[in-house]
Amino acid sequence: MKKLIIVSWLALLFSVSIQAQTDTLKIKTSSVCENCKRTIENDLSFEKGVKAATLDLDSNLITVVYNPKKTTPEKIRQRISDIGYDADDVKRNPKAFNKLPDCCKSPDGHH
Amino acid sequence: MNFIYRMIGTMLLVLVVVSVRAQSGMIRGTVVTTAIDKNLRLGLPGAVVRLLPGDTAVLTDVGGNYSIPYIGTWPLQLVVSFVGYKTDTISVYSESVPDIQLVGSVELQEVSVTGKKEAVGYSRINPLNIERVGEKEILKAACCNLSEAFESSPTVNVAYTDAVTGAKEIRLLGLSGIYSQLLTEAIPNYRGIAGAYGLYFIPGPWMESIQVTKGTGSVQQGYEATTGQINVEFKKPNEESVPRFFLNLFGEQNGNMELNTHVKHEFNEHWSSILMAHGNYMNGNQDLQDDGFLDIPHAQQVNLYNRWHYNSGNRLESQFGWRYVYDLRKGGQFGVMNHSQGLYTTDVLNARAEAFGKLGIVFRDKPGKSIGNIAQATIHRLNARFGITTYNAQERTLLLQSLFENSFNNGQHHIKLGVNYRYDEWTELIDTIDQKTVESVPGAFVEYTYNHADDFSVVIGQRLDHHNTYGFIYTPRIHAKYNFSEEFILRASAGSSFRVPNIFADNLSMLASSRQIIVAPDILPERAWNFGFNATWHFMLNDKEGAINLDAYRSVFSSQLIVDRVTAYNEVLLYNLQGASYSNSGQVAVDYEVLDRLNVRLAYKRDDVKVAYNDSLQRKPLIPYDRSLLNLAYLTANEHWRFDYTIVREGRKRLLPTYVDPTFDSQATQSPVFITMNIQVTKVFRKFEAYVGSENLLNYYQEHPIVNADDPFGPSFDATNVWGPIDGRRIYAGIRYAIK
Repeated sequence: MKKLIIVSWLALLFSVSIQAQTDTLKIKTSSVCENCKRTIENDLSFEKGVKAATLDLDSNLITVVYNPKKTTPEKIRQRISDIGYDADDVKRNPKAFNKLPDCCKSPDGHH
Repeated sequence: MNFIYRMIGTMLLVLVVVSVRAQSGMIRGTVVTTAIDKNLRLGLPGAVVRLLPGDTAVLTDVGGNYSIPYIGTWPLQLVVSFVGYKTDTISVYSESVPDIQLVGSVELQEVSVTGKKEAVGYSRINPLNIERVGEKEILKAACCNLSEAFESSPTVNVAYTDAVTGAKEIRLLGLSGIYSQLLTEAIPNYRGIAGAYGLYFIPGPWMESIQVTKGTGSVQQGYEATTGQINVEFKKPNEESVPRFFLNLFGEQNGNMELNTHVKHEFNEHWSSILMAHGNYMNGNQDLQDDGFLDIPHAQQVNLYNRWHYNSGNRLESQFGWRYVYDLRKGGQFGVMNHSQGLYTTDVLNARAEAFGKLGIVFRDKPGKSIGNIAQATIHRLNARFGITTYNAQERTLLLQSLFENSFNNGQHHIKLGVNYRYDEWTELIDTIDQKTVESVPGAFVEYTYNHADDFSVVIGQRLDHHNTYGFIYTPRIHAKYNFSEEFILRASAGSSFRVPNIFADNLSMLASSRQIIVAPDILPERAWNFGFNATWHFMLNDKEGAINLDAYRSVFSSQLIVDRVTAYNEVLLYNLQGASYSNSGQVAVDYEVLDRLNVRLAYKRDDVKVAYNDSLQRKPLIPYDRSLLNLAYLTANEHWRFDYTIVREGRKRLLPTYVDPTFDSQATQSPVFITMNIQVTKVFRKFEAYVGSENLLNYYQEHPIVNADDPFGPSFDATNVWGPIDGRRIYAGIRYAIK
């Protein structure tokens, strides 16, 4: 009985959800440090239609996997701007930028 | 009060001396990184700091601090590099440089994504055997307070000490909580009369982490701590990871409700403060056993904590604050009065105020050198009533400590010197017996650490105290560590301890029975030795980290206050140990990330605790023979869901002799083996977290925790023969909301 409970619980954990059709998008941003990476990735993971978001700090590129039926590249860029970072040609929202942690506010994103 | 003034005087004097010593021609700062732990900016030791122009270069110390001599005009350039991190060049305009943050290079970032910090960590560096319970681990528990933070820890167990008032105690290495030391940020706390309910006074959401030291502790905190130290670190106002505002609401099906909140403010780069509040209200009537007694007492608690942090930016750091807790628990019989003496009820009221201050001076140019001063004062009131027996006590304590430490030869030798003073005064009124006790204990200690290369280190600690009643007390302690390799570490420790027992406060639950309490004359202080051995093996399997941890500890008493509840069913005999008393504890624990983000912990523990009761060596009652634990923790890839599952098998325990009730056939001498399960699911939303869970999912509870519950004023009533859960399944839900 105990074993059964454990096994069924594990099965529940690993049941793979069926993936919808997705597109991939690369967005140039203005991140500086690990803090920025965490903020952007975490925030985008909650954005409707976004399946995954990974930021590469070296190239400052965010790779976004999204469902085109639920969101658009414009909406994703707007969201990045809303949390205080540039997204391609969409400039960051200055109010949000001011609330970022100190290390994320270094000029041009570099020391 | 005099002491506080003297202490402040000393601090000021030290301050003046320090500022005169200021040097010129040195650039100082700290290299930090969040690549090790993404929630913490940790100092990065061993990083190379190079000055341009020229080629002067230095390495950062253990704390990531560096100081580098310069000649030239501003601005100068510093190049900071470390293997696995991106090299950074910065311009500096003054001698004090803001923290330089290094980020991991490309290869390392991948590691930092998959290799998260484990919730329970075994240190590779510290010679002491310390198990760290992180915030993640604390969140695994349903709620509430320190007594529930160890549910997935194999090392520390928490057990009810009676079935009426809800009093709980910590058990470490097979011995009761009075033999381990509870510290709040390295200050001994919740001793004496605060001990019986102390675990309830530390709310879960206040804690940042807990460190459990197994075996004899550091001499720095005094001569107590036979089996170990449990140190609680609270959330700090100067830490970026602590949100500016936090709110937690929590409710349980049994009627328990909680509210936790805190507000943090950073006034400027020097000053920050946090105010935390906790409220708890429990008013449910639950009686699974149908014995007329509440399973969980009605409770009300208000708990406040305010602390301030000051950092001068170069060498001075200070913290001070206060805490206040009011806690009322009403248990016992409820419902219709069915006998002439009325209902048997219990009331336990605790009210406590604490104030503390810390002042630290660091010498940036001398890594490892610092001065620390600590002061703490507490007032505690305990009013308890068990049926017709009353216990009223009041305690006042003052604790002062000054500590100087320094490192030589690049940290090869490290020395700590300290003096402390403890004043403890308590008055007790047990029914009509009045007594007042005063302890005044000045002491001094020295702790020397020798580090040989990366493989061997030893800590030798000695302290000498003078107790106003028992004279000089000498306490030697030693800890050693040997790294056979980066992965395989052996530790050994030995140390003595001393403790003045508090007959009633240490054993308050014995009042929840009709047993006659008989105290022998001339109770002596307790003395014990603890010997320990630990082996830790870190391994990589399938690119996943794991650790195997083996512990073997032995505590031996040469003098002990024996609480004998086994000789007669209707008496508690308290007398000095004559003969042997020991606890042997062995544990093996395996931690491993079996699949991506699925962490498993499997542990088995065996305790052999024996005491000479009236010259006959017997197993100590109500201590499990063995205990097994399995914990599974899973986090989804997007970190939006967390799952946690714990199953515990608790072995047989020897039971207390009780009056044989004719309604139950015969007297059981051993408790059955039983299993409990806890489960929790957390969903993370953009702005908040919600969680639901169950404790004791299988609804296992002890059928008759109270002997002769029908006649609580009769001669055979006993609510202390508790070996299992009393309150059955609990289902709860809560939310956490934070503004970063």
